Amino acid sequence: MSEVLDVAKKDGRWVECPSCAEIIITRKLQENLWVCHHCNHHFRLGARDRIGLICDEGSFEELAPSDHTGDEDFDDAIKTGKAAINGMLCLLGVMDFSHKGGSMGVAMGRKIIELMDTAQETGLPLIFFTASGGVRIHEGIWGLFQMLRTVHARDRITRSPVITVFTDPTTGGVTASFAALADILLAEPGARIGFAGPRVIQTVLHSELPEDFQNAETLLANGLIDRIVPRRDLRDTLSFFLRWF
Amino acid sequence: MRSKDRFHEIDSALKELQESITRIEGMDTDELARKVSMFREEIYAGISRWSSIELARHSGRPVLDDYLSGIFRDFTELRGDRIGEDDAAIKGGLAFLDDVPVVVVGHKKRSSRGKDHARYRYGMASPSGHHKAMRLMKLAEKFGRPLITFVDTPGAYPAPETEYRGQAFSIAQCISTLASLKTPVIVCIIGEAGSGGALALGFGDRIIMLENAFYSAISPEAFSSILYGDDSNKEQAADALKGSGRDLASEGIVDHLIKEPVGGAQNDPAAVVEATGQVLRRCVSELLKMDREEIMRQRAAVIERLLPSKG
Ligand SMILES: [Zn+2]
Repeated sequence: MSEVLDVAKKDGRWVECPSCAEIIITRKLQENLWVCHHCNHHFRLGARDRIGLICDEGSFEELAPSDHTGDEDFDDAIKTGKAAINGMLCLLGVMDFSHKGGSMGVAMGRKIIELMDTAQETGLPLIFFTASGGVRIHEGIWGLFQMLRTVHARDRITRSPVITVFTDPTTGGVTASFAALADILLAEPGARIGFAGPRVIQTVLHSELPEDFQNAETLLANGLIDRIVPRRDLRDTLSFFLRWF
Repeated sequence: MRSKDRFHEIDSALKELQESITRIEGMDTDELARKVSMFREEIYAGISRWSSIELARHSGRPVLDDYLSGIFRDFTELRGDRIGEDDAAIKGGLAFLDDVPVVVVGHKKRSSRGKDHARYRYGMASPSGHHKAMRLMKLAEKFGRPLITFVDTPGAYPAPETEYRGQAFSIAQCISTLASLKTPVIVCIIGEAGSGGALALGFGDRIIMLENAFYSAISPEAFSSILYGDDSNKEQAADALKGSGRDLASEGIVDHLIKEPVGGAQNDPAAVVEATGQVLRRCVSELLKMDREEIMRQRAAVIERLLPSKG
């Protein structure tokens, strides 16, 4: 790659597609909802961008944490709130892989559970966008227990539909807890969705892994998720479910 | 010093003391016995978490089959997931605990005294195993029998084929089934209890745990790799994970801590099984006296309060 291009990339005008390695003008990529024109690779989105893409403009209201007792309770790896999609109200939980790998610890668990309890109180549909490496292992057993706590909270929701949209990547204890238990399971094209990380599997198996064994497409073919939804169709697809439920 | 050697050294020291007691007849042996027990407490209060993990993985440690034969009467295995498979890493069935009909499900790491770990994939369950476990849980619920689980697994089996069959989904469903099961659930954590695979059988109305069993989201080796790039800091990683029976008892997560014999459960498997059985009987009779709704209410309250104490 030429030095000129490298400089251009550094100032943010160009992006290299991690999938096909084509160089894309950032503005063009943004116009295409951060999907590669060449190979349809869906770039990872931060929570803010995701909310901007899905919700009616200015409709997102962040849920105030009820038990906000300090900085450690504030978790940027998930944004939770109320929003409208094509005029229909819903609750949103949007995870952000760029913050601590979207890992689920006590603080995130609390936000998820509060969001779920709000769904049960209000009867509003609840949509999760997941992006996480799993439980926050730095919190030891308490990280692991977030799986149990979020599953338990999810099972208390009887009034509202729950939808999970798996985005790249969703693995470990997030896939293996509340996210897998939604009424409807959707995924973005090419998203990695699974339980064990590839490195863990490799240390056990000592062999090369199939390229796409945790791809959304493989999960769809194996009957594990309901649908794959390209990013440009997400708003309409979610609108359909909001109308139906 | 390798911890095995250290244990051996401690064991011989204690044995010597014990022998002196028997030799000195007529003396105040109670006093000497008290000294032995104090010595034991001092040593094992200071046992490192990494040593606990080594003991939890010890090849002579009592395993599921030892508990099945040592505690229950007429254990009758029930096999299969009713989908098309039978996972050997999960073993379960019907049995009597004294006169009480119970359902038992656990991770089978190997057979008693056997070196057949590989056959049981070291107790690492596939989705099929989790489906079998769920089927047995629901059987317990349907007939109002207590469910007793034994947890002994490094984690759920990580492989492409278990991913293809929905490992994550089966674990989530298993946790959900267990958390909402309308019958008493008693969990015995007897060895390694790793990650979501452990949690799939690892929570109930009473939690019994051996003092050197280790319950954590990740193995110390893997945690060390994440923190330091390789497993050379597994001791520190184990300390950070704080997952031994003693840790979890002090956090109030474990209801009954089973003391292990000096040097670990492998030194007297029968005593450990016996002690576990005694506590199990007490838990079952307590829970059978309770109203089912009350059990569900208490379980929900415990899960909702399952948070680290501030400090
Ligand atoms: Zn591309």
